[in-house]
Parts: sequence; C-alpha cells; structure tokens
Amino acid sequence: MHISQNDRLFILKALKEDIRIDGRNPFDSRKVTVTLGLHNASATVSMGSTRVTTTIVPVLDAPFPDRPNEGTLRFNAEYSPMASSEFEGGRHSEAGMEMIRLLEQVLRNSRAVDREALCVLAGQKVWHLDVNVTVLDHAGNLTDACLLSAVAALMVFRRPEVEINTSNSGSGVARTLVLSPAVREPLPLSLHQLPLSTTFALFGAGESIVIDPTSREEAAASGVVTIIVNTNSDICAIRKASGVGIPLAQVQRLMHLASNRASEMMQDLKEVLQQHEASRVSSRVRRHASAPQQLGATSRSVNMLPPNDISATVQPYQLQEQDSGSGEETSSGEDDMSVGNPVRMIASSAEGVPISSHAQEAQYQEAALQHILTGGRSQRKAAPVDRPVASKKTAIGLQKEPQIDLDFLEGDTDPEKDVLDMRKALQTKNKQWQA
Amino acid sequence: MSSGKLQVVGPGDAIADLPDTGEVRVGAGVIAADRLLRTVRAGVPRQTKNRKIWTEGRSKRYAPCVGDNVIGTVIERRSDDFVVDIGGPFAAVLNTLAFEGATRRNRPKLVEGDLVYARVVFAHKDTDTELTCLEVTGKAGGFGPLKGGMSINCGSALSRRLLAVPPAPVLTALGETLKYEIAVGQNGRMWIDAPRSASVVLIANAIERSEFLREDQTRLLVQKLTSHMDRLDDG
Repeated sequence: MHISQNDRLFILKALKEDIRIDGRNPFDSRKVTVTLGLHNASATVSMGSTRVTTTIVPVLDAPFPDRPNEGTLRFNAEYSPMASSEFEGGRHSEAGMEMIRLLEQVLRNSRAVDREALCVLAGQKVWHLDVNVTVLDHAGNLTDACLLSAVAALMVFRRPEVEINTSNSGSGVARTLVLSPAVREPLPLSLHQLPLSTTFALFGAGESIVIDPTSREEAAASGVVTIIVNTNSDICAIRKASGVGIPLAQVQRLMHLASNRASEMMQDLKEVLQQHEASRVSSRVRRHASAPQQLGATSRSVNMLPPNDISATVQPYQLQEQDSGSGEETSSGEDDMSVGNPVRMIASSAEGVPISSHAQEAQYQEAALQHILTGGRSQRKAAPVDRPVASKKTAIGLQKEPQIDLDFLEGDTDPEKDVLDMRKALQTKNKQWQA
Repeated sequence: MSSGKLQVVGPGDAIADLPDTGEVRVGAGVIAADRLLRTVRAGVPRQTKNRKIWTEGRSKRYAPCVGDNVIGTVIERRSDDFVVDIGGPFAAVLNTLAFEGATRRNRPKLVEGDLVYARVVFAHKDTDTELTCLEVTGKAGGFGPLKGGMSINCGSALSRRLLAVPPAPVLTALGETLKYEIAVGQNGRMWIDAPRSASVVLIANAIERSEFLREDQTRLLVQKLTSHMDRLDDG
C-alpha cells in the first residue's frame, strides 16, 4: 500500500505527541472479537476493521509413506482482492506466502499440534487437516489476526470419531467408519502449545513504537516486528524481515509487552471457547416445545414434538462409510460417493438466527452508541452488553451466562500440563545421561 | 423515476426511459443502452433538478465518472503530466498546465506522494482518466495541491453524505467548537487539516463514526469527543 506524503508526515508528527490516527495511544490494541463457527471448524477474528476467518477441513486419507502414523497440517492463506485493492486475485502474493510460512513455522514445525493423534490406522488412514485462512478485510496487522484465527480454529476444531472394523473384511483390509457427531462426540485436537503474535510498527529510527498497527501505519512505518509468544510466555518466534534496526534492550521491552498481550488474548479466547462449549452442550439438550427458550443456545436446541408425534422425531443415525483400502477393492454395493473420496465432515451451519425483541434491540443500540462514545481506548472495559447471543456469535465482551460450568480445558488434554510433563520427562532423561 | 421515493436497484435494472428530446446527464453507475437508462451497480438511483441521474451505493472502490471531485495521490511525475492515483482501477493523468496560472515556464511543483484535489474531465474504460485542477471558468475554485493535513478513506456513501446540501450534521456540529478545513472527494477519500494533530484525529474519527448515526446521536458523539479532548488538555 502506498500512502501520500501528507499522511506519512502527519502520522510521524502526531506520534511525537503520542497520538495515533485512529485516536489510540501507542500501546493500545484494537478490540479483538472472536466468533466461532457452530460446526466447530471455523473461527473469525476481527480487530477493528481487519477481519480474518479460518476454516479447517479434515480429510481422511492415506498418510505420507515416510510418516505412516502421522496426520498432516496444511496451511493456506488467501489474500483475496475483496479484502483490499492492493491484493491481486488468482495466485499467492508474497505477503500471502509469508503468512503461510509463518503459520507453518509456529503451528506445524514447532509441533504445536500433536500429529500422531491424527492417525486413525497406521499406514492406511490418517487425518489431513487443511487450515484455510482467508482475509476478509485488510485494515492492518494481518499477522496477528491470521495467527489468532488459526489458533482459535484449531482450538475449537473437533474431528469426527472413526470406528475401525477388521472383522468382516476378507482380505485383511480394515474398514473405517466415520461416525456422525450425533453418534459419537467428535474429539478435540491435542495442542501442545498455543502461540499468539503481537506486531509492532517502528517509526523514525526505531525510537517510536506502536502496537497493533493499522494499514496506514504499516505503510508509513520504517519497520515492523512480530513477536510470537505461547501460553508459557516462551518466545516462539520473532520476525523482523526488513526496516530499521532495533537495539536489544528495545527487543526485550517488546517481548515483555508481547507476552502480556498474548496472555490477555488467550484469556479472552478461552472465555469465548468456554461459552461456545457451554452453548454447544446445552444445544444438545432436547427440550419440550412449550419449555421456555434458553438464551445462548436458542437456534441450536432441538425442539421435541408433542408426545403423540414422538416417533417422527427419531432420526436415523447417519453413518458415512468408507473403504479404507484402495479404490478397486470396494464392494459393488458401495455408494459411488464414497469411493476414493475423502469424507468431508463439515456439518451445515445452523438455521435461522433468533429474532430478538425490539426492546432488546433498542437496548443494544443504545449500548452500542455508548460503546462508540467511549472511544477505542476504553473499549475493553466497556460495560457488558446484555444481548441474547445471536446463536452464531460468541463475542468477547458479551455477558457470560451462568451456564453449565465446563472445565474442558483442564482435562487430560491440557496443553500446559502436557508440556510440563514433557519437560519433567526430559529433565529425568538428562539426569540419567549425566549419571 | 420519482426523486422522492427511495428504490433499491441492482446491476442491469432499467431505471428510466431515454427521452426523445432534451438532455440527460448520466452519472456514476448508470449507462444508456437500448434507449433505456440502466444501472451497472447496486444502490439507490438519485436525480438532481438539472436532470443528472446516478446510483448511490456503498463501495470502497471507485469507478471514475466525469464531473466528480476527487482526491488523489501523485504517484509519478512526467514531462507533461502527473500520474495520480484516485483509487480507481487505473491511475489518472493530470496535465501540468491544468492548474490556475500554470504556464510552460511556471509549472506547479508537485512531487510523488503529494495530495491533489481535482475534477474528473474525461473518463472512459479504454483510456486514461483525465483530471484538472481548474473550474470551467479557468479559476482554481478550491482545486489544487493539498498541503499538510491527513487523508482518510471513508467510502463512497459517506463522502456523498458529506458533500450533500444542507451540510452533514457532523460537519456543522464539529464546526461549532473546532476550526478545520476539509476536502471531500467523490472517490471515497477526504482530507482534513486543523491547527492541532489531536483535532485532526478527532474530526476524522467523528466523521467516520457518524456514518450510521442520527442527527441527535451525531451531536452527542461530537460533544463527548470534544469534551474528552478538553479534559486531556486540562489534565
């Protein structure tokens, strides 16, 4: 993006007075909102006008021959021309490729996702996850938005359970059965670490710094630094591709800021996930049609018909069957659809959004105006808005409802605990070697 | 087409018959085809008293149209003209003589990155868009290089609103307490200058946020923002 000299000079002049062009202080971030998809496979992040969405597509297929018991993670970043006129459609831009490399570096090469857990049948069937990051609107700081949305999507993602059936196959080829979420609860991924990035723009000779730059600030900056920190405040990566140099003391200061912001963002993200999980669980509770609708999960709850019609509500289990061997060995009775076709388990998104009453809408609008008036700097502390969660959205800042308290993050799959265990194991191993 | 009632049209919709006699001026988003006036983008058709028809939509891109006032950035300096980015699909050209008082010997000294406020005099899909910094009378009339200040991209809908008569409530409300200068381009850009950087930022934010507010809400917004700035000054 090129900006006019007037804007460049104005940004520098205003920064000398600690003013940024959107009214923030140099170390204020824009409000971050995470919206999770109901089908547990997507997350949309918005930071100011920047919006990025990530969708994960699981594909059950043969593993790579060199890693027979590991699934794969494939990243794709689409910088579509819809997001900004500076992006060209059709092929990967340099910025897009850089983003893919960054995601690969911090999520795949750092073994953030346990890929062995994606193995279904060693040497035959593993899950391949396509992580598609799409930029919907570019208003600066795409790095943070893309990584946050990818992490949020990986955290919310649930892969379907697979049943392996070896008994009724004659030639020793196991058959796999992908179970519908209605039959068996899909499983979360096991994540060893959750990296989040913080981007800073440097101005002048690096003496003035702003956090979470807008696209104009990025264009006027003399350098951009991205620091990626995980939940244990370990530095995962520092990216500084070009621009002015910065002294080590400055880097250490930025690392401190980045680690604070990452833990803040992670806290918010976990809250959103908890709300999402609670609404997901309550949606599975079958309710009588006359029962009062519960806020937070309205559109997803299943309404029961009156008792005399109950037979109509019994839904047949939908099983998707697939042959785990090669395509030729498929029995003739199989559906054409399943031959050699990877099963794509994306549940359709929810039906309509419940219409909130006019009074609530008016209240919300009033609150929204208040929200605007308070300006960017106090947005994070803005009073919670009492609006029924419109089913599709679980936004940071909305009131948390007293719902089923789920310690889902504290279970066996606690990533921090896993890392701690790993560390302990390593330490004991080191001691053994030394002995 | 009735000018009072709002009607939403999509690309390809016929909005009026071409009259047998007289003159119709066609603005942005409207083309004449098969003796009909058709829209080429989604929006609301509008009409002025002197029979100019255009469609008004919300878009971040700009399709150049003759007669539009635009704000552009000089991206290249050539011997006879400046190449100016006006946010359209291609850059526009601005002749070095298309300034008030400009001669072969006395050319305006514009460099890459400078902002100019200009008028579109020629727009065609197959050739370069041409700009001028002159009124029809040959005077500058407000057009020309913009010195200092800051430009923002506000989108076509908001810039149309700001150019409307009577002036948009946000501009009058801001004018009551602050001294500022503003230029609005129909290409969805505007330029703001004020004595202090803080006021420029405040004005830009007030204008951007006022887009979906009613008049009373706008006044409240401006009041809160200015009082907040006063508090900052005192503190």
